[in-house]
Amino acid sequence: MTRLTVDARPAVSRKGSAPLRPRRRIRFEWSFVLLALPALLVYLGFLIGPVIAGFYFSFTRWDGINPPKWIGIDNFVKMAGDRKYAAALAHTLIFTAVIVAGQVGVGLGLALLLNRARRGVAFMRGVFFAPALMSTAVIALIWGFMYSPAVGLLGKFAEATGLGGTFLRDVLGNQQSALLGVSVVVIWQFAGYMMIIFLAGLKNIPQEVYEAAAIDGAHGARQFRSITWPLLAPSVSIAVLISLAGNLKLFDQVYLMTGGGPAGATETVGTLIYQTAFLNSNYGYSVAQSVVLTVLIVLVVLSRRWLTSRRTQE
Amino acid sequence: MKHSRTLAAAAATLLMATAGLTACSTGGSPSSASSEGQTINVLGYQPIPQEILDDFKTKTGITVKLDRQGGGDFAQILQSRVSAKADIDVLNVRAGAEFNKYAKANSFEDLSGQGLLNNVDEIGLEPGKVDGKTYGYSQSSYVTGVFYNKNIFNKLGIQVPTSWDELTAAAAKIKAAGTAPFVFTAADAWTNQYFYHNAIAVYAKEHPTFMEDLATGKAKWQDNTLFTKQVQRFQDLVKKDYFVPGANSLPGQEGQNMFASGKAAMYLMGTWTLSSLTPAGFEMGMFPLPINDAGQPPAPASSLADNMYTVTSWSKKKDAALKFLDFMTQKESATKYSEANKNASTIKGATGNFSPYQADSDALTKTAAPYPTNMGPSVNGTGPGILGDIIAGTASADDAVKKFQSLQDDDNQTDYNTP
Repeated sequence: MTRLTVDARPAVSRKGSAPLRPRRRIRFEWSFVLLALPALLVYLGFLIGPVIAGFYFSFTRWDGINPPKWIGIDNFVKMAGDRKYAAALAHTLIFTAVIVAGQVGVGLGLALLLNRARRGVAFMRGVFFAPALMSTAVIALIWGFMYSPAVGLLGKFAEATGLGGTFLRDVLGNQQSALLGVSVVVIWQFAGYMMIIFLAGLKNIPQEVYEAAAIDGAHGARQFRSITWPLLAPSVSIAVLISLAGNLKLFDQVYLMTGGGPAGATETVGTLIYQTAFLNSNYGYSVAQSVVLTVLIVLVVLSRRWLTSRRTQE
Repeated sequence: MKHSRTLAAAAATLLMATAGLTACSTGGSPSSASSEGQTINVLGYQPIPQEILDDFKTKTGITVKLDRQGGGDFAQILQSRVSAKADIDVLNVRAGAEFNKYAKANSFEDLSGQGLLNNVDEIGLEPGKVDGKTYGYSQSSYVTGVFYNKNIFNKLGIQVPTSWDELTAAAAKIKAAGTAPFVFTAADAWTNQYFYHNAIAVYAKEHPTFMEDLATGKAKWQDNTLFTKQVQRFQDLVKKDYFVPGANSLPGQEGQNMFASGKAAMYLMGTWTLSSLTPAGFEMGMFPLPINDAGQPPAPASSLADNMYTVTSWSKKKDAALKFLDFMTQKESATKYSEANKNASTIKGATGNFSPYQADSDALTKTAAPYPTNMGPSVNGTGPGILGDIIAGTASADDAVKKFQSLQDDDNQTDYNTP
């Protein structure tokens, strides 16, 4: 971005007589560019450069070490018929839908509860936010222990309550429940983070609006529908955007808890990209998979922004 | 007098030049001087006992800085360091697809003709040969088979099975007695392969061109009758519910713990597991997975030489690096290495006493069929996970073999999967 200034000195006529109307001359300030250059170079070198290189490698067959071979659009043609990629994409979208809804719902619920509470707010806020600060590896270990069919608490609970024959016995080993099992962990991990965003939004809603509504006879759900929810819309928008972008590239929780199993039931595009690159040494194809994922994320985020701005205009 | 002095000086110069050239050449043993005081960097996935590094420093004056990356992310770390030609002199990598890929990319020094290779048994040299050159050697060898709980077998009057029918009969008896016959740990997919590992090894031994034919598209996995039969048999085991509860999501370590605590009678794995497997209050034994039918000669176990050591092609301290490998292949160092890492050595004369179960391991090794080292990376990396599809009920045995072939087709599009 360049900065332009307007020189508005009055122009002088050729003959030196009376001044003419002011002349607008655009002058380019190089100092601004020089000051921005270091940051720009870092941005170009470490973000834009690899992205462009990634686009190039997506058109190659490459094992990551030997020279890449140009194969045109073969990787994308292969991807179009790749059922494993299609399944991973579907799982990613389901994960995203479940987790975004869960995180926003639970985060909002917690924020509403804490917003009303009079005592212990700071403590409870810390407790709910703590999982967001924990390492995902630690979280995977804790929940892996909870879910484990051999020693897990959930399995023992299922057996004790006569539910040993259900999915509770082995949540992550059951194709029908594994996706939900991982989703619960991700929701638990970041619901507190969403809660903080909503709490900030709730604090910005003037108390007078609620008082006026109460005088008019609006209470509880009516107040939430007509005051809280509309005035909280910017916070919801931010929360959904953060959650969308994060969960479309979901990787670490899945990788650590199920490795994409059982039988690919929790395979996301993120774990598939990892597998293609580091297990199968097929870096060219894995970069092509990443390119498609990136385009998908950009499209989803842009459509979300478009929908939000359209709603605001209305 | 002056003439003789000139002659002597010329002779001395010639001798020094000859010595220098000898040191620089690739043949023979590395020279003894010149690298003293240097530090070489080693990147690998296996630990090297500090005692060996200290002894090496005392003997040569060379310091070894070991960067051991033992986790599951070693492949990525290796990839990034090799791509960047990082300051690494010696690499310790896995045999097979990983070693072949980097050897093909000229990332390793050609060690052909180096004296240190004379210290290594043939089984340890084979995985280091790529395109007619020797780029490294294997420090350890392993054998895969069935670890079993002798107490359970004795209690139920079960003899060590020598055919598949005997194995399944034993499994039925064990299950009837209330114990899970087999451990299966689908969450760590690589552990699945020991249900077909020796089928691939034996078939490759009987059909020496099969792996190359696979890579060139002349053969398909469907042609490997031992492998396809074994995948079918695995499906039968699944139908009979012969696995520990929760096998579909069990991590490798938890499965091992279940066997070690007596909750399962048999555990299919390699001898590397002896470093961490301690049976709790029972006698343990090992036998080859009997993939043969009744009346046929007993099938051998599969062996694999792994734990490759090599010198990077860009190392600026090649002489010191070669000295280190020479030291590692001396029988005293190799014995210490074997005992510390609890694995059998491929070094001639090394006599590590690494495990109380070593006798079983040694007996199996003698007749074992070597697992092929030219397996493609996708078949090697993703292939074992396909058995997880069978246990999850999303694939039949036929589907599984087709998926295997599909991975092979992917690998065949590259040119680095065959040495």
